[in-house]
This record gives sequence, C-alpha cells and structure tokens, in this order.
Amino acid sequence: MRARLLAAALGLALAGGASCARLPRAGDGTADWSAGVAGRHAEADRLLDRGERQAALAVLDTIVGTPPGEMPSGEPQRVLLQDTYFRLARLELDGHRPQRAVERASAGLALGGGNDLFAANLLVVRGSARQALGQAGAALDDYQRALAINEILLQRSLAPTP
Amino acid sequence: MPTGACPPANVSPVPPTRLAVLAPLVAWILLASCAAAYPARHEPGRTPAATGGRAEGPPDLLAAEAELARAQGELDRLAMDGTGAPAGCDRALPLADNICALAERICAIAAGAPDLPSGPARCADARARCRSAREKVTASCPRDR
Repeated sequence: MRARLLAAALGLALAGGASCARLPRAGDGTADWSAGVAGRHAEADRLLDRGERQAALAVLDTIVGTPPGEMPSGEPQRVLLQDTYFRLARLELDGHRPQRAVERASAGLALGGGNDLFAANLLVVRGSARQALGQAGAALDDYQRALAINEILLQRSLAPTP
Repeated sequence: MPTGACPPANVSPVPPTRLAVLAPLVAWILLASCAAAYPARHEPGRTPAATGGRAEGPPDLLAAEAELARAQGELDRLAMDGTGAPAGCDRALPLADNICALAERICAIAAGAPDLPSGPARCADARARCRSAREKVTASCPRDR
C-alpha cells in the first residue's frame, strides 16, 4: 500500500513535470535517486514493523551517506535529505539517544532551506531532544524558531491566490 | 482530520505511515517546485516527558494526516475552491495547531525553568501568537468547509 502510494505520488510528480522544465523526469538522476530514497524508506518501514530499529537506522543512513557526486543537487535532494535526517533524529530520540538526535537534526538543518516545514520539523525534533537533555534554553530557542516558521507558512497559506 | 487533539500516549513512536507521508510529500515538493512554493508538511513533533525523555505529544500519525490533508488541500486549490474561502485553509488549520502546540511547549519549558531569562515573557509572546494564528484562521476559513 505504501509503495503504491509512493509510486502514485512520484508518478503524479513526474507527470506534472511535463509542463515544468525544473521537475525531474523518469530516467534522469533526480528521479532515479528520489525513487531510490523512497525504496529505502519503505525498507526502513518494513524493518521497523519487525522491531529492527538499528537496521532501519542503518538503511536510512545509507541515504544521507550518499556521496555528493552520486546524487543530484537542488531542492528535491535537499528536502529528501532533510526528511531523512528528521526521521533519523526521531528514531534516535525514540531510542533514548537524545544527543544523537540533536546531531542528526543539526546535520539536516545544516543543509539550509530556510523557512519551510522541513526546517521546522528538524527544529522541533531537535528541541525535543535538547529538552530531554535538560538544555531548556536551547530547546526553547528551537521551538521559537519552529513557531516562527509555522507563522510564515500560515501567512502564506491564507494569502490570496493569484 | 485530527488537527489539535493529542493522541493517546501509547501511540507507536514510529507508526507505519511513513511512506504515506512521503508519497504526497514528494509529489507536492515536485509540484511545488514548479509553483515556486514551499512544501508544507506539518510535524508537531513530540514532547519528552520529565522522566527520561520519553516521547509524548502529537506523533507522526498526526503529521501524516496533516500532510495528507495538506496535499489534499493543494489538490483542492488546483481544482479551484468553490466555497469562497482562501484555498489554503486546509493547510492553515494544522499550521495554527502547530503554532499553539509549540507555544504550549515553550510555556512548559518556561514554567519548568524559572531561572531561564525572559521565560515568562517568551511564554506570553508565544501564547499571543497562538491566539493570533487562531484568529486569522477563524476569520479566513469558514468552519463548515
């Protein structure tokens, strides 16, 4: 089911690309890499379903460990990597390794991106990890930054559509 | 779509909805890259409890549902919204919920660390921003959409 959803989503995205030169097309590096990422997330899902958290982490690590020359650059890469870092951070936090969660989230945030929910997600999970570490001030800072991003996104979502 | 209620604390930390999140996410990202808009996945995250950092609060399930709602909202926008409400209302509601959830976390931290500089002021500010977000959504988005 999940794989079908993902395939449908990728198909939708690629079909939409027919009218947009910036979108990846089947066969190019971005689309191939994105599909590979999705497959590894699916594998991580299966491992987690079996309770194999460490194995799932290892699979997800192969995504963020891809050599830069072997993945396309640009926004799709950035958001998929940040989404993976977010997931890694959550798994570390759920595994009671908050310091590792902070490191994972920080690595994701270092990829940049600015005011989007990928950054907000990473800030929230890092804030949670810092809270678990007793770093109240740092956690509060992360939550405040995440709140500000959500405000910006709210403003955008309510702006009149051209 | 649950947008504000906290789920039971025993919700699986990593529910098997991950690809359900990723699928519309990827689609929207790529569509959004065409429209020069930012993707908007909603992730309230979770709050470690006072004892041992055990995770509580809105889990991935809410994020998944919010993301699905957001993706649906984007489709609605593309299909033209006929209700007269801003097209982003489906996205705005969970964003306002996120803001308020974060405000509560900020206030919880401030309350638990009285020596934190400006803690009460930051809490008050965060709650004011929560109210403002709710008011904006209420003013712009009919409840019976």
